[in-house]
Amino acid sequence: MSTLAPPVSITGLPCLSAGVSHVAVDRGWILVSIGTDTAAVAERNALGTNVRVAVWPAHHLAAALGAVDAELDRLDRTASRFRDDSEISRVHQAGGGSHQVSQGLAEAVGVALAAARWTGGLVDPTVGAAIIGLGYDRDFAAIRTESGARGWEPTPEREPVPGKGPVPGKEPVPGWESVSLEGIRLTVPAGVRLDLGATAKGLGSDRAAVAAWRAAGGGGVLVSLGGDIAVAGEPPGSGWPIMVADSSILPSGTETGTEAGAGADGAAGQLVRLAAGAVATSSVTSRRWRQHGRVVHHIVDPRTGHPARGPWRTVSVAAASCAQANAAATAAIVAGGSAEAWLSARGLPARLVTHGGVVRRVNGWPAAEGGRVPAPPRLSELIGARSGVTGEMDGQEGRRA
Amino acid sequence: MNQEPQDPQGAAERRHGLRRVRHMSNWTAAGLIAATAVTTVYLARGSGMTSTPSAAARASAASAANGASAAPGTHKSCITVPVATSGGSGVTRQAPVTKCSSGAAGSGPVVIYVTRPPNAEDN
Repeated sequence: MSTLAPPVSITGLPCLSAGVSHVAVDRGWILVSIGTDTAAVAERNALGTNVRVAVWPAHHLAAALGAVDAELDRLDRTASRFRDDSEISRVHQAGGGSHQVSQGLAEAVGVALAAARWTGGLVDPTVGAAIIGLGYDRDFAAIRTESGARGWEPTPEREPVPGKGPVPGKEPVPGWESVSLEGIRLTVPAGVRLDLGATAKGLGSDRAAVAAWRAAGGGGVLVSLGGDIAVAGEPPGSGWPIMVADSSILPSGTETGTEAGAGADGAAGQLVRLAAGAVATSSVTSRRWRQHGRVVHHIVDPRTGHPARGPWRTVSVAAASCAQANAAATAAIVAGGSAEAWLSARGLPARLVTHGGVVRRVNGWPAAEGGRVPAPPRLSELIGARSGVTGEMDGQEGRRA
Repeated sequence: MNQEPQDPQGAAERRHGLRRVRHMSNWTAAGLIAATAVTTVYLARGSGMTSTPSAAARASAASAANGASAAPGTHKSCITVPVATSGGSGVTRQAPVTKCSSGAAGSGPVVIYVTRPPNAEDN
């Protein structure tokens, strides 16, 4: 971790004049105006994506950012497959085998395996080789530059069509049952490469939100790690206002949106309020690139080793933990036509958008703009795997009730 | 019996003098009151003690104007724009542009302070 730079006073600057007096600046956090000094919002890039932190009262910001930085560092050092020196990369470099790993990596792998079990294999951490075979073998920013990553173009011809022929580079998916984790002893068969993408960002948001809330000593915290959002503590008003959207509504050629609502097909983004738990979104409209002349994306169906295909372009799910929401959203994309039934059976509020822009909602996801996402149920399958986080979240939700 | 000396002209002069003194005192008192009032208003403005509503009162009024009301015991804020976007990996940036209706804050730019060192790299 780099050395903290001296705090810089931002007193007197517009929008944050009342609540925030100092903020740590060493990791490139950028303060973002939200039009009020009730809460403070900052963002930076990390883990190949964008991280946002919102806190209230605003003067908790510096403490929260420090805690989030520590959690992001921990996740990056242990679970990133884009770092040669990460712990998971060293397991891969050793050609598999049995390894004693850190508690942090053990928890990340444990959550990934629990998600695989919970979803019946719709998400599977052993898709690593398959996704590398598709070309996603480095930070996505590099892929975007080198291979001409595609933005969303909602025409049938632009849909990934892996079922019409073999995808070059396709690798078989060994299956999550081939990986064993006993305590901190991780055993991976030779040649198996783990990709924790379906759960790791969610887990990181869970960890960071709780750590930031504890560091702040009260109030409320929201952490968004690549759009996987977890909240902790007391929300402002009736809930943190968040936008659910996908790249189909964003201006062409950019992933930076302004106000949603510009969708041409009726599936414009929706403002909702999140009071507790988490929301995560999976979408095939982002992280798309060309390989051998065809458009592929980053959500791999473990049953085929191909990019998932199905009726949904974007699925947002609310759950008690972000790891669970993250896994459920990805599972729904992979599940295709059975996604609504799968989500309904688990009581998870969700918003599904078809490739044609039709929006479907299940389990009380609000239809109204600005509606509050209902409290998601606590499902034991994946929560139980979150050692070190579960207790805090349990206590937190008890207070909310 | 002790009696005052009879001097009608002197008595009249004394009464006239008393009236002049009373008139001067009234004007002096009025002047002092006015000066005090002006000074008080001046000092009050200088120290920010105006009669305009506090920020909290303005926020409350704005909330009421928006049709929102705070439930007892809950924090009522004026966050009307999304603080984050959930849109799948890579669709994460949201630049709020809407300001609170109260006008109490939010007149600054979207990004108000860039702290990222020019050579910083993540991952």
